[in-house]
Amino acid sequence: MSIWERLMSIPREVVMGLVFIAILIPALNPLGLPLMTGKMSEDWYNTVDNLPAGSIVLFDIGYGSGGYPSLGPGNIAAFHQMFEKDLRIVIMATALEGGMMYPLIMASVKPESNYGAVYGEDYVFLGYIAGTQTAMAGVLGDLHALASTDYQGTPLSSLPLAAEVSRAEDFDIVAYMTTAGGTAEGWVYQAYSQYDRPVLGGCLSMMTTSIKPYYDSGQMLGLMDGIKGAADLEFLTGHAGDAIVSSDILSFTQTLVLIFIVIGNVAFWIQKGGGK
Amino acid sequence: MFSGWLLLMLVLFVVVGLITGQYDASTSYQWIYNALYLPLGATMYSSLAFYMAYGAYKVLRARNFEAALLFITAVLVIIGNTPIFPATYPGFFHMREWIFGPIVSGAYRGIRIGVGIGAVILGIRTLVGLETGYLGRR
Repeated sequence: MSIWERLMSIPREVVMGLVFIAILIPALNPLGLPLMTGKMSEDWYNTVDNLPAGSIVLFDIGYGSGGYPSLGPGNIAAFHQMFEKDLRIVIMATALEGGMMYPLIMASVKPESNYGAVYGEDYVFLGYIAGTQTAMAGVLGDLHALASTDYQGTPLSSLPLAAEVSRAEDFDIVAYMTTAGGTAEGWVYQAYSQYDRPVLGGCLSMMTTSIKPYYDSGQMLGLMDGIKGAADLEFLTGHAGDAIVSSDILSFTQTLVLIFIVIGNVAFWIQKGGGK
Repeated sequence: MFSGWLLLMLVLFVVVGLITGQYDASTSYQWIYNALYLPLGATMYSSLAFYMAYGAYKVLRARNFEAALLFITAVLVIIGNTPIFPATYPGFFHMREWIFGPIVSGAYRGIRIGVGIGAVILGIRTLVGLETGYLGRR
């Protein structure tokens, strides 16, 4: 077997082993490699930044444990910015595991101790609401007809923030982070198309292709795409976290993948040209 | 036939969930979720990175003209998505944005509009009795 043939068929164990090392080095020793923020994340940040204090945000946690590494850090950075801006947040979950993500996120954000926020007045969590687009339509159409209590069973009527909102017009903006394409597009259909509410979206990097057309058309004002978008948001909000560390890992692993792709192609063409 | 661990975990989650009440407000349920399910879920998804890296190395070969177009586009998008490259030279980022804009968004809009029109036509054909595929006829 010639060297070019060997380079075209590097064993899977070698490729994956090197990828593992490329993940491990920046994970153990974050390098703080430079980062260029993208326009989609900047638009998310600026849209939230321009909201007046006291504005009400409807925020959907549309992901579970699988999506947490990509979307969790961005969600934490987004909440930091919203609490810093004195926005009020009505949180709901269209993902079954969203209810389990909420305490994880709040354990990092610490709204009470960091921002003096009060549950029920500055933020409220409705819990998981089943039905995806049906749930969205219900929350935006008549929230109190759909949910009577928050996630701990407290009546919404006894929570000042929840009592204040009942329909789409009561929300100044709708934001979501999700791993589901149906949820990502659903908020555009239900909040923007139906009620003309501004929408901010967060999705996995691999969903960007299908969601970005809504951002390009102006139906979404900002888009946080995966861990890169999360790193941008952490950088812009000044709350460095897991995403910025992951950004170093992305730089290492994707550069390694590029090297492998180039090696495979160079070997392929040399071998095709008769090289030994 | 069934994994003993699978059944044990199933019983554990159901029992803890039922005993401690509301699942997302229960500290016990949160603990087993955070200690067991969350790392496993994240690991399952993250393990894709290894297969995607190996898949890209094996499959992205410029064997012919069409494959070369795919290869060039993929390499440019990977470069634009890798934080270190746009931070070093912003042109990489704008190149990726251009690919995502006129090319990807344009093509995706075409696909979505085509699917939408197709769904409407299928609905009309079904309503007027021209479409009988759902009845098992050809």
